Amino acid sequence: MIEAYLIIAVSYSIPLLLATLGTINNEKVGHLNLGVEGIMLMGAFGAFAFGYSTDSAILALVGGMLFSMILAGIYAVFTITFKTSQTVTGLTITILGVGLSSALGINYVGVNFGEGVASLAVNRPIPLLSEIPLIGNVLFNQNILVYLSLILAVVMYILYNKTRIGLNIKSIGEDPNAAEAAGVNVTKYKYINILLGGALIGLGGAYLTIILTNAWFNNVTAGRGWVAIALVVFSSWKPLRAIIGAFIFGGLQIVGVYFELPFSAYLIASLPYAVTIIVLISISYFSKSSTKVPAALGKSYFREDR
Amino acid sequence: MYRVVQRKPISNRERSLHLLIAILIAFVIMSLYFLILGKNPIFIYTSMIKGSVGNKFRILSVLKLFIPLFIGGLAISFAFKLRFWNIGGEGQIIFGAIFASFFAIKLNHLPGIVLLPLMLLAGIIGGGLYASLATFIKVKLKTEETIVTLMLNYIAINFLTYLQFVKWTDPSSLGFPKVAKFSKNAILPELFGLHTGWIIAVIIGGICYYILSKSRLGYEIEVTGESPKTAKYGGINQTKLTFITVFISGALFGIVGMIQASGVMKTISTQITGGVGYTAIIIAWLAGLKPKNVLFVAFAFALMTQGGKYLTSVEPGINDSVIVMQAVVLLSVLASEFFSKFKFEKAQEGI
Repeated sequence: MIEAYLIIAVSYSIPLLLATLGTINNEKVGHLNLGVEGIMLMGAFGAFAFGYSTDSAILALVGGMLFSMILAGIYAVFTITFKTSQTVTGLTITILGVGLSSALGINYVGVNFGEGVASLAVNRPIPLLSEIPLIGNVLFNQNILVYLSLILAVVMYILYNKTRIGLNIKSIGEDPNAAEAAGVNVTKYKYINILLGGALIGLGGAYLTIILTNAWFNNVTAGRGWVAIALVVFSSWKPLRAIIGAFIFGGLQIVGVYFELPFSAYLIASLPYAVTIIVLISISYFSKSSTKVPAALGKSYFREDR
Repeated sequence: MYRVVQRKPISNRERSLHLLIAILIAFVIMSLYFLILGKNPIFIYTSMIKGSVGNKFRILSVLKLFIPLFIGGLAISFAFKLRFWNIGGEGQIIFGAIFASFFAIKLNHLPGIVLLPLMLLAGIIGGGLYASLATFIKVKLKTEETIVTLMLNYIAINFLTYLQFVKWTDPSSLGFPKVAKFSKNAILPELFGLHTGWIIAVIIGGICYYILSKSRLGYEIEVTGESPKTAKYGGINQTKLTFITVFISGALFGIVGMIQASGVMKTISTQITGGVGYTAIIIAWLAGLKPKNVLFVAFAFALMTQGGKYLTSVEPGINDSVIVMQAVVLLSVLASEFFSKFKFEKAQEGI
């Protein structure tokens, strides 16, 4: 029972993990993107549209990333070049994603993928590792996208903490003017991060349609994009901690299905959000000097005339 | 390479022209969109106009949609003027509605003349207190409010789900998880075919206009929002001001919750907000946080929404495209703000 629950919990945590990683990408360069929900939905729809019409697993993933990158691109042009309010633009992007995905998918609600795409959902046990009791089945007997997502988190960790690029990205999030003065092309970095972040968020959406539902449904993300924004804070902008955060949030989403709970599952559903607030408070209240919140988060950047 | 430089401030007439161009561009984009989908854009636009102002019933529907958007837009204007980024309208609407519904359900023997004002007061307190939680976290615990207010939305919606599915479920609904319809004395009566929430909206509009543009409180909000330093030297108690202003913002959302529960749904459900907490942000922003402009922008939104609703009946499945239309109009207007304030200039090499 517990094993069955944990196996599903891992699978449910993956869309959250991918969306969280993408959102971290956004926030690291100072962009609080409230369009995540819309971008993720477009990713889910893009994966369905490409996967359904070609029955190719690869093209389904590409489609998911492509559609979400289009939306992320609009967000980028507006908030970076046009310097519009990040809050208002992000909310508009969410509205656009919700509307567009439902409008385009209207004739396909409940339609399943072909076998080619469904092959992605097959569990592929890793030799030896999958034979470890309990952990083996939970972590190493999953579909290929689970492994891919975990690797992505590690890659992002290395990128941010061990490379020059990561250092530049961090400096932009803290103080874009100082970064520019130090020779970092702030605008270029922002565009790349937001676009790649969009692709990751879209991949999270693609996971939903390809693995979890195997079909297109309106609003298939069901608020997961918003959860990702919370998870970024929960994991203190750290990719590896996002794995744990996503697992907890993902696990809580389905805990009511597997266990008899002492009190209502609807109340437990609030728990992750309350914890996020507490994490946020403890970050800004207790750590005096070095807060982990990117200092320039949410602020438009004007290149100073020199 | 091109770079962005600030423009000289433009006249109101020029700004209006920019806005008009923006809206035209949005309609060109949407027309292309409809053509790609194989629909006739002219038919869609005329249907939307017919659907929103075609007869008395439809105009009343527009007004019904307008009331929460207008009050919500005002709510955001208060908070945003102070640079308090209240993304928590959804949660505040929900708690306003929950508090009001508590009295509607538990004290349903009271006559309407007593019960309704009690519900309104409960809505004000529910929304106001829930917003104050975020103020407390910001002022006393030094934690930025944007994400906190967003999280509070989810806690609120989950709590309401709990009430609807467990605690307040109507036992006579045969297992269907819904709250019983309010008794007659807990429902806002109608006047001229519209629930009396409109009278509340008119009064609130007047009060908000007065507070924001004529009163000392409005002046203090303005000064503090623009420069907290100046406010400090001017002897403004910023902690107190933040508590009061955000309470007002939450209270206005709470009133929205009460009106929607009592006047529109005649019960409470998880559908109570209709996304107004978020839409209000866009409305207030487009209106430049000015109450008078909020009136017009909220009305334009209500027109578009009602037009879309009607459209679904003549052109099934098109409703979601109206959401796309709203987003495209918004993006065009946002872009036009940029072109009114900045221009591209060819950068010389070596700068």
